Amino acid sequence: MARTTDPACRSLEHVISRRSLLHGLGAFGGAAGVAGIAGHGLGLCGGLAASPAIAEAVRAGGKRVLVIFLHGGVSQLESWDPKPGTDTGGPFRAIPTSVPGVHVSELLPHTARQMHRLSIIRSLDTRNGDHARGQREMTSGRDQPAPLDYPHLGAVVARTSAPAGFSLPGHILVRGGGGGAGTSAYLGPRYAGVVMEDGQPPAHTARPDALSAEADRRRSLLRSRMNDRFAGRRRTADTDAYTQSYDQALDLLEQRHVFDVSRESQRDQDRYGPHEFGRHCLLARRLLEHGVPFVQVNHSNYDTHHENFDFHIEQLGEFDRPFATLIDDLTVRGLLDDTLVCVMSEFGRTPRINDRYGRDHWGTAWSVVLGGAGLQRGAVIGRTNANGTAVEDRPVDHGHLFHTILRGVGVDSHGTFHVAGRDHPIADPAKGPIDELLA
Amino acid sequence: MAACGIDTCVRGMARPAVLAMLLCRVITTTAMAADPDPAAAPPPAAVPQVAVTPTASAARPLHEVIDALVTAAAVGPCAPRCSDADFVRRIHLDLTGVIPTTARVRAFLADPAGDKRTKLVDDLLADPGFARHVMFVLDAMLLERASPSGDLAAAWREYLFSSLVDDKPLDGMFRDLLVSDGSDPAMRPAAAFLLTRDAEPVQLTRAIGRLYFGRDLQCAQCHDHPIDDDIRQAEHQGLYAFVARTSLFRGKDNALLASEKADGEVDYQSVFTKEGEKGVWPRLPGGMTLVDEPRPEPDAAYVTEPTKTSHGVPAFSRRAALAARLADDHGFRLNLANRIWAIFFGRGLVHPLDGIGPDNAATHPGLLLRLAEALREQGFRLRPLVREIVLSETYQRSVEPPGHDEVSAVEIGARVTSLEGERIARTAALETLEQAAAAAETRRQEAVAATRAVHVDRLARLTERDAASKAAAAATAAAATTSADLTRARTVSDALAGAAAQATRAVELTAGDAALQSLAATLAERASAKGRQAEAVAQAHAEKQAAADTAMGALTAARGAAEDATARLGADDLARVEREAVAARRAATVAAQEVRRLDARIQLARDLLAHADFVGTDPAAAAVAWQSIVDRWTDAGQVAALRALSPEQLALSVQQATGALAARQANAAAAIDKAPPEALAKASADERDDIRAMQVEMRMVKDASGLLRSAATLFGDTLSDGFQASVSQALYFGNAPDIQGQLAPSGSNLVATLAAMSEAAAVADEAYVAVLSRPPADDERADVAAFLDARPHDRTQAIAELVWALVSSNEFRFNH
Repeated sequence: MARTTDPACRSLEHVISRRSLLHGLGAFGGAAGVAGIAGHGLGLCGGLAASPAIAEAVRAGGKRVLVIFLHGGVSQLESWDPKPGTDTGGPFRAIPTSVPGVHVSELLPHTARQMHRLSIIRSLDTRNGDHARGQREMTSGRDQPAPLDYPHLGAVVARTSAPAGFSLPGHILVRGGGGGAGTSAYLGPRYAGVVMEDGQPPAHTARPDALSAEADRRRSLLRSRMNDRFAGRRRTADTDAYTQSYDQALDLLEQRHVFDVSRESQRDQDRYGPHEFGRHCLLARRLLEHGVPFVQVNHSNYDTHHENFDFHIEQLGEFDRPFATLIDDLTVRGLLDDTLVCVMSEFGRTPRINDRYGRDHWGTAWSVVLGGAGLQRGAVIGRTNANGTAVEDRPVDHGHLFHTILRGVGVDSHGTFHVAGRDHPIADPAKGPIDELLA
Repeated sequence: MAACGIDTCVRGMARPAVLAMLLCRVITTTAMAADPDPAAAPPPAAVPQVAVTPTASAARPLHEVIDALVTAAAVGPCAPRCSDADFVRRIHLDLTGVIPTTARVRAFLADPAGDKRTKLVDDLLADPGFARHVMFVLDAMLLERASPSGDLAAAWREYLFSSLVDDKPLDGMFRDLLVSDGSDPAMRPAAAFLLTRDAEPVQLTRAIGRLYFGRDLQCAQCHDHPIDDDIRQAEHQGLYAFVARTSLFRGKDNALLASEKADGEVDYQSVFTKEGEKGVWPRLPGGMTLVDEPRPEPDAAYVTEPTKTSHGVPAFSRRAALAARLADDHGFRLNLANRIWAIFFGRGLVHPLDGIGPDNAATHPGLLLRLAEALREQGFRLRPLVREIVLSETYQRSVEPPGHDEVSAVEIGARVTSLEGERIARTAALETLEQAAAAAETRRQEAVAATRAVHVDRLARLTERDAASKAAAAATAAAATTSADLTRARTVSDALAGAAAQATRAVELTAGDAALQSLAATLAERASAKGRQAEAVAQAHAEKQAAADTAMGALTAARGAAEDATARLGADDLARVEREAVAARRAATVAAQEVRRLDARIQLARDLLAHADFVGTDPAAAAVAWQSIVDRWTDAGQVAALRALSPEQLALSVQQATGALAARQANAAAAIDKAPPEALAKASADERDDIRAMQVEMRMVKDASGLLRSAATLFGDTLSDGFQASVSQALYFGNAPDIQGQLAPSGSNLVATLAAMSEAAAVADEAYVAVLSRPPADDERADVAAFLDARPHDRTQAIAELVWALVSSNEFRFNH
């Protein structure tokens, strides 16, 4: 492995803690004091995991965020804010959940049993009904009528929460239908979303057939010698960063299995289901277990201008069980304490049912669900009126949501990023978190 | 038709051969570094011109002035000139965006001529690669990595390319970007600047503020900046007023155009203080106010009225007014100069590039002023300024910092004393300048307020004039109607009168035919009735005509009153007062920045002295301190910076190194020769070679657009100009089929060439010259030999590994 000999940033201690972290991330649960993970074949580095230095490093690595993005705009009335028996309510019933007095749509029977671990915000008013803008605004927390480019939440979390020397991508987008690239804007390419198209490994994470691991190491050693020589002429933080990125790439190749969901047990694969979203949820669990700070899983497509009810039976039928299984697993494995989960869309759907039994775009009164990490559980924030046509209490928008998510994972959302001589407020300075959701 | 054959070329292209001649003119200067603007405030005589004004000597080349200013400000030693090998690589990357070919490297290193660097610079400025490289730079700068949509995608780059081949002055290009609404086919590509931003006024204000004036005013959209006194809401609103009437228009076939209205005022209120202004005057950031804009009468307000089917083109365009004011604006020139400098040094004299303002001092305030003026003196042409910058010793310094042992404590100690003395003198002078600037600003505000009062009156007069104009139009129309009525009535009445006379005559001739008599009587009676009617109509018409005359008279008077009011605005007087205020502010700002820089220099000198003390006692602290010193030397131009290659430089240079670029160029040339574009076919013999070279270049860029786009995504970004290394990039270099493909032996590519060589020393030599643009040192040769000797059975594989290692090395990734 190519290494220079600089004492300041190449100390043996540093190398050990970084490397063991990489391999020991599987033991994250163990470090966090939760048993039950060892049986899953993830304890690659059990000996190191016992070291207090590793536990410290994992804690310093911060918390994680999982976004489930329901593309096209899920109907709040068929999910988190049902209004049965009203002119806008549609045909489905509301069912009780694990939180007394809180009901969700009968399309979410499994999720209903997880609601004591999650909270609902029923008072989103985002004043927008455009898909692209909704995607931008919900994931960046800023008003962006036109693409001005603020970083995606994933870029922000990767920057704030990835442990030092973490060599897996910090910002992963599991795409199965639905676009989005996870722009990092001024935060730079290091934090841009790494796409796992259809759950496949990210680009260039496999060595070409013609290149053996041995050959890769040989040529890296050669490069390393050249770099050492050049460092004698001039060495800067930039040259160090460039050298390090190659070391990280080699480390990453050794962890390529992290991207391979087929390594999960058959039993788990059965529990999550054979369809795409199920696989992607299991993959998300795997990535989070390996310490990836930000994962987004897309589920498409909820844009139900026609036959809203049939489509929601189908879509939420796919969504419900894997999502509930994921929340349960994260809880059992102790990951939910450090992982903030948010289910969002670009907007909700109109209370009015159109003449094709559809519902149209609607940003005026809709819902998102979130929980885990430093957030209250089992809470309901805000309220819409009887037939869901307006927010009656505690109106909030993407800006408040963004602050809340960041605060939930311990980031001072009123802070600033200092990038290339400029200060950028992390979140919209005119907004703040939803305080009553913060634990 | 454009001579280069590119359809979107704005006008006939200057012939490249002529170009080469044009750009060889040396910029000379009188070396007045402080403030050569004749409109500026009287020179601050009290300021000791120590560091910023070298002794004036006639017609001194600008590159010498640059060096004099930088050297005078240096604290501690400067790095020596870089080696020829460093220079040949650096200058190719900076002027053509790609590393040199092996032939170029070898020829340059072997050339014994004393002026070979100057010759090379002139060659490269005339090379099509220069236009290509600056095209990438301007594209990234102006569109910030957004892609223009539809028909503009390719046309935009061609527009930039042909403008650069043409040596089109930069102020003209920047003007076009604001003026072109996309409707004129010849100018359509320039509209990409507006259209890529949806012609949305808030976005445009931000982009123009940053890219034209180096000022990011975004924070001041809703209120004054809470911390930075210099970022005022009024400043944002003044710039916004120039573009607030602009909007996006979707025409036939979804073609986008920029539409502009002839009216619409900007009102604002601070969300904090509730203070604000109604009817904001357009004003350049910290510059001149547009108080007397023409206000055509309602029926002349538009060239094309905005409707559902057509975009609006006003008779007076505020956007065009902004464009027309650029060249005379100091802030615009300063920004351009700063951005050009940054291309060659990796950072601006003011950094960040959109952070120009009193509180963000340039490293060399006087130098920035000088460059801004040189730009104007040279008619905003890019090549002459670039030439002077790269001929400076400052540009040509080595990246290797001087050692500790080159720092003389005695010298630095003396320097602290002299810097402190200079600081005292300058601080005293600064106070005077600040007072003068404040007084000038007060006068400006008073003048603006006075003009405001007249302006209110002018608006009232204009309203009256417009009312009078409408009334006159109505009255004239009414008179025209009665005039037509009168004509008709008279025709009838005249006909009847004639008929009656004829009938009377007939009665006389027929001696009292009773029937005729009766007919004649009827005719006479009717004629008389119609005659009376006609008179009545004539009366009515006379009244209408009089009313019309009165209305026209009123309109003439109203026009006169409006013109009087416009004249009474005293726009010229206000402009004079504003110019004085701007110049006084500029002088004070430069003086304040010089004081700040003196503080920084004094600090650097002290740190240098302190470092000498650390070295023996605390080596770790000394290393950190030294790094900070080297960083500051770099920013001050005493040591050359290591600069990461841009995505385009990197992608093309990898291709150049592996031999893939030569293949691409050959393919592009073959395509052009197979089907010569019209302009090339028609070209005369003496211009054919140049035109062909340009077309091959553009063709190659087009063919490589996919590669370049993915490079930009992987390595580039928009707002952050800092370097970032990502795992994705390393994975790309390590495993991407694109890179692997370039490392497989094929044709005469590098790996194939090396594989055919039997001597390890020759392999090392060719590989190092091809990739790193220099011959290997002895130990490097030995390394290569050892590496190859161990691999007799898979030598070609070993060579591919060697080339990969070179291409992915730090030395390759950075410009040094």
